[in-house]
Amino acid sequence: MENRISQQPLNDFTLVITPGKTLDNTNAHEMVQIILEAQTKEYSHIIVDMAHLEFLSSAGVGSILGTIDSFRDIGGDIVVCNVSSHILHVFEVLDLTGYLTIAATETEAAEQCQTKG
Amino acid sequence: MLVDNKQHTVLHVPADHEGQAVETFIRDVEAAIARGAMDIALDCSSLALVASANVNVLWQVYVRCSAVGAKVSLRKPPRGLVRVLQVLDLADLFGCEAVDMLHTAKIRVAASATTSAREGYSDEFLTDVDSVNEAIERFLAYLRDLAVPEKTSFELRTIFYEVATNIRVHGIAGDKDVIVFCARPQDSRITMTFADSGVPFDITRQGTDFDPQKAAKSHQKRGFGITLTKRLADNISYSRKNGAINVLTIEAGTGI
Repeated sequence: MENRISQQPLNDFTLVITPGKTLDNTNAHEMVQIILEAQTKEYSHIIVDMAHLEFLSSAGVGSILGTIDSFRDIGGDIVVCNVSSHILHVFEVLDLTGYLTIAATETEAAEQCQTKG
Repeated sequence: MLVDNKQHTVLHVPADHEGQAVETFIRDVEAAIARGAMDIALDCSSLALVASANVNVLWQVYVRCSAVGAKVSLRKPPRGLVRVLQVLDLADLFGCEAVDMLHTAKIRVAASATTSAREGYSDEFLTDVDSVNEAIERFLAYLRDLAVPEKTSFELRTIFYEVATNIRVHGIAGDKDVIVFCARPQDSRITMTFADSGVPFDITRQGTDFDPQKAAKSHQKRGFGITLTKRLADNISYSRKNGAINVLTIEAGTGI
């Protein structure tokens, strides 16, 4: 699969962002840019669908962690979903499983966003 | 000086790239030229690791030789040196032997990876993104040969990526320096060693304290790589060799 970050509005306040195979130093800045632009477009919730993600570096983690409070401050959130066991392990090693909102599927992530919205 | 029959001279390139050893070496080159040597071979077998200053020394030799029409070539150049010379478009100036040596070295590395994974693995690669990614793919292939479980392989890949990226982004001025890597498995452990000639950086002195909430509040987007590496590894040691080379050694379990 092409390593492109795609985005698709789910509704007026939720944007689904889907990274490609890797989220690392080479494209973390692009991820940050997409997330921050979403906020300027008044999306309060972001769903990061990691279904295709095979590798997540520390910079990739930083692209989510470094932007998440901008959404939580306004009552929104960044919800990650379809997280593989390897990627989940990275979150566990960095003690992020209790801090990030992690959903099993995009449907579940959408429900979380509805609840918080 | 190894051989000197007036026309053909072999000189030993010193491992040190500055100071007395280099001055003596350059004087030997000048003396050989003064004696009428028209074919000067430089034995590079001592250059285990390559710094840009080594290339500068070779360039000084080339300038002196070309001024009098003498031919200069390399003997036993390490892969890192050949690749650096190729990137700088200087390989041809030192004869095709260098390119042949690179080919031979690639075959040797490939053979060692496929026939005796248990004995270890070594690689050298440039610090640009593509070269690092290619090196990771070769390392993953080696781990598959070693029958390392997928989860552990992912952890080792993460360590490799974070260390190599740290060297590329923070340790070296550009994309054209070389990282020398080797891995040695023993029992259920693997020891990975990274060597580079970038600025000194001792990650063992960096803490692993990491507070997600604090990082999020401060919108921190970078700086988690060292924490991730240290938490995935069992042991990490760092040394600075000869005042020029960073050597980072990381030990981790293989899950075998």
